[in-house]
Amino acid sequence: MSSPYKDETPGSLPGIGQQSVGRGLSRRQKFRRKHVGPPVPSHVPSPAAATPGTGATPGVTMAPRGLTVMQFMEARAVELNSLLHSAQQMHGPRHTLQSLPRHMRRRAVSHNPKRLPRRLREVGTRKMLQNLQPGQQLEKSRRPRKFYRRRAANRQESFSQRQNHVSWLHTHVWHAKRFHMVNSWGYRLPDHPCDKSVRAAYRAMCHHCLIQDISYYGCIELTGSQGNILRLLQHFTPQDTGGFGSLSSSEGRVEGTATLYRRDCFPRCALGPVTYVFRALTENSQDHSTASSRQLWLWTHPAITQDVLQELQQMSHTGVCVQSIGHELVRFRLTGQLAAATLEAALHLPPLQNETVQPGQVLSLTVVDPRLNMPSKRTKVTPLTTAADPVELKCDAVLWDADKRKMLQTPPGQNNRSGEEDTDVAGDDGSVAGDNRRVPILLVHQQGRTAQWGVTPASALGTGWDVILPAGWAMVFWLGLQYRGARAGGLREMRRLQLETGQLVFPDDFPDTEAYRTLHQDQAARRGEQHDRYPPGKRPNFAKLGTAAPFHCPWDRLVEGWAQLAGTPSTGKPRGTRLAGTPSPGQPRGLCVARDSRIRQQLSQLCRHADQQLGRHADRPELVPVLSHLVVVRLRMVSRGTPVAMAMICAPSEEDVAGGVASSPVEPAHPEGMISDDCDVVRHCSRLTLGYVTAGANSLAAGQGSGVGLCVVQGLLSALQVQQQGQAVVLVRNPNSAQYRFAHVTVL
Amino acid sequence: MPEATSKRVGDSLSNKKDKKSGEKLADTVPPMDEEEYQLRKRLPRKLPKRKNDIYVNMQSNFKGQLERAQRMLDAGSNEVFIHGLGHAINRAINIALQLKTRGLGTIEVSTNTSTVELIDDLYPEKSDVSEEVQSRNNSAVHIRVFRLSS
Repeated sequence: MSSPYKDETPGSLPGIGQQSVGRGLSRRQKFRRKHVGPPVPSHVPSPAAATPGTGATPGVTMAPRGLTVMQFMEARAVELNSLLHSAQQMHGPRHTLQSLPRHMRRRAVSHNPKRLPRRLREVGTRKMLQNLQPGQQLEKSRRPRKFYRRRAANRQESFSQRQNHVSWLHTHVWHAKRFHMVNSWGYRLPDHPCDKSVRAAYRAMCHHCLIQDISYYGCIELTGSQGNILRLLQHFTPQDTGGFGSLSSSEGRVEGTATLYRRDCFPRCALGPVTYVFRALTENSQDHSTASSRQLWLWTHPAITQDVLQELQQMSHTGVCVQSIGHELVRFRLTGQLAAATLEAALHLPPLQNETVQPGQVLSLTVVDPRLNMPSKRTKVTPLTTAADPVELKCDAVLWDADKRKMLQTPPGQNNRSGEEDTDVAGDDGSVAGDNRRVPILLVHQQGRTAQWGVTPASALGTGWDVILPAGWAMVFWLGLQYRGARAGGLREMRRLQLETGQLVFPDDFPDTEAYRTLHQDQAARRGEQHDRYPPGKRPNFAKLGTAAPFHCPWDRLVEGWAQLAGTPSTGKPRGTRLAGTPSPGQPRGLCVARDSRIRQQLSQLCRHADQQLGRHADRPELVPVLSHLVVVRLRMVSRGTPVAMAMICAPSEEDVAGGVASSPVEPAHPEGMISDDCDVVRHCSRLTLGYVTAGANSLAAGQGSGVGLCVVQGLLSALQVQQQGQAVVLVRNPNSAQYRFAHVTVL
Repeated sequence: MPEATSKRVGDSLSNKKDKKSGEKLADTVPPMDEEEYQLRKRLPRKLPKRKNDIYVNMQSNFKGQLERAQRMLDAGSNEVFIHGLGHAINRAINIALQLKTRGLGTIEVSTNTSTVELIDDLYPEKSDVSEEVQSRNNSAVHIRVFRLSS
C-alpha cells in the first residue's frame, strides 16, 4: 500500500477522468478510446491518483523515479506464475498433428497416420491407439494392389519355377524391365530395348560401347592330351585345312573360329560355326605340351549346343573328356571404340593397347570386384587424351580350374558397395576369404571387319572385347559396366552389328544346317499366316509379281534348277531327304556351302575383275567341283533400293548392264493364279535367279542399302559373263516388288 | 602459346602420332605366298585424340572433313591439327591448303612428317605353316593450321 503503483491494473485505467475529459474529444479520439484503449495522458502520470480504491484524484503529476523489482514482482506473483507455467508446458495435451508447423499439417491425419512425416508416424499411431473409444478399431489396412498380391513372397524361388520352359540369363530381371523379350533356342532373350534406340545403339557400337549378354552361347569343355583333342576334332572339320590346328590358337594365345560338320560328313551336314580357346600353356608345361593334359573350350550357338555335345560325346573312346560348362560361365560382348576404355575403368586394368593386341587375343586375368570402384552414378568413360605406356598384363588361369571356379560362383555381399561392410561377409565365406575381392576373368579380343583380299577396307567397326566370368558374378560386372556408360543391346542390335560389319549370322546365313531349317520353317509359317490375314486387296499379289517363294528361300530347288540348266545331274537329292537326321557318310546329299577360303578368294577376284572375262569356269579347274555349291555374297546397292530377306538375286542380261543404273529393269506382270510348289525357281522370272538375300537393311555405315545373301556358284559365274565394269553387279528384287535394282556383289 | 603447341606436335611426333586413314593398299609389303597366307592388316595404333585433332580418312566425304575443320577453326579454337596417313596424306594437305586459301591471309600452316609402324597378320591357309606377323612403315603428315594472332 506504500507504493503508488500497487494497485495499478489495466482495468483501472479506463476509469480515469472519464467524465472530465470525455466531452471535449474529437470523433477520432472517441474511436481510439473505444477500440484501442484510452491514451495514457502524459499530464496525468500518476496511476496512484487514479486508483479506484482511493477514489480521490490528487494533483500529483510527476513520474516515479524508479521501482523496486521485488515489490513489483510480488504484486504480480500470481500472473507471473501462470505465465511461467503455461510457457513451460507449451501446449498441454496436444495431438501430434498440432505440434507440426502449419505448412506441414495435412487433412485427415487423425484417421491416417501415414500422412504424418515419417519421424512422427510412430508417435502419431500410438496416440491414435490411445484415443480409441472402447470397441472402436483402427481402420483395417487396405487390400494390397493386385501387382503386390500376385508377387511371390520369395521372388527367387518363383523365378526359378518360372524357368522350367525357358532358361533365363543371369541378367534376365535387369533386361526384362528394359527390353522386349523373345523365346529363342530355349532361352528367354532380350530382343531390343523398349525405348526407340536403333540409332543410339548404332552410335554406341561405332563410337562408344555396346554391351550384350551372350551367355546363352554354350560352352563345351574338352579335356585330354592335345593330340587326342585335335584328332577328335578332325572328324568334325574339313580334313585338308585343319580347322583347329593353327599354332597360335593351340598355344592358347588367340581365339580361333571353325565350322563344325557332323562326324566325317564334310562338306555336307554342317552343324554350325564355333569359336574355341585352348587353355594357355605355362612356361614349365610348354615342353611336354602334347603329352600333358590340355583344356579346350568350344563356344557354340545355343541352336547347336546340344547337337555338338552329342556328336562329341559319341566319340568318348578317344580319351577326351567332353562336358558342358556353359552354366558356370557368362560372356558379355563389348563392342565399339570405347570398349577397352570401359573395361579399363570398370575393372581397373592398365590400358589395353590396340596395336599390340593380336586379333582374337585371349587374356586370362584376375581383376578386382567392380563394386569397389563403382561411381555413385552412371558415368561415361572418356576416350584417351594422353598417350599411355603399354603395361605387361599379368596372366593366370584360375578360371580354367573347375574347383576354383565353383568356389567363385557367389560373389560376397551381394548388395554392399563399401569395403567395410564386405569384410564381415568375407569372413563368413571361409573358403575364399582374402581372395574374394578378386575375380578371375577371360578377356577375348573381337576383330570387327577385317580387310579381306583387299575387298573391304579395314575398319574399327565391330572391334571390341568379350568378357568371360564365373556365372555368379554376372550382375556385379554387368552393373559395373553399365555404370561406366556401356549401352545394352539385344538380338536386334546383334543382327545390326553383323550386317554392318559383314559378318555371318548363325543360323540365318547357314542354309546347310539343321538349325537353319528349323528356324526357317517357323519363319515361313509365320510369314504365310500373316500374309493370309490381310484381305486380298491389301496384300501383295505374289503370283502377279512373279515371286515364286515369298516366305522362304527354296535353296534345294535353286541348286537343282541350275544343275538342270547346265545339263549336269544335280548332286543334291530331292527335298525331304535333307531332313533325314543321320545321313550316311560318303553318300553326298543336301546343300553345300563353299567355305574354303581359296575358293572364296578366287570367286572374290572374279567379282572384282569381272570385265576381264575371267569367269569362264573352264579356265578355273578348282571351281568345277563346287559349281553346285552355294557361296555367301555381300550386296551393296549401286544407287537406290534396300534389299530385304527373301529378295531374289538375279543375273542381269546384257541389255540391262549396257543400259546402266538409270534404267533398272522391271519384271513384267505374270498371269494370276497359284504358284505351284515345284515350279522352276531359276527361270520363273524374266531374269535368272542366282540366289536369295538372307538379311538386308539400310546400312547406317554405308549410307545405303546393303545385304547378305547366298548365290549358286554356277549362277554367279554365268552372271559375271556379261559384266562391263570392274566390280560385278547383279540385280536384286524384293519379294513384294516388280522393280529390279542393281547391286555390287562381293564374295565373303 | 605457340611454343606450347609446337611442343605438343613434337610430342606427338615422338609418339608416332598419326593414325587411321584410308590406306588402301600396303606401300611396302614383303613378298608372301598367297597360296599359303592370307594377309590381314591390323588397324593403326589408336592414339589419344584432343578436341582439335582431325584424322583424315578416305572413306568420309572430302567436303565433310573440310567443313569440320573449318567449323573447328571458326568456333574459337585458333588451331587445328590435321593428320593424314599413307593414302590420306594428299587429302590432309588438300584440306589444310583449302583452309589457308579460305582464310584470306589470316591462316597459316606448319607441317611435320613422321613414319608409322603398321602391323599385318599373316593367316595360314594351310595347317602346316605357322601364323606370322609382319610390320611395315608408312608415312604420315601432321599439319598444324592456325590463325595468325595479329
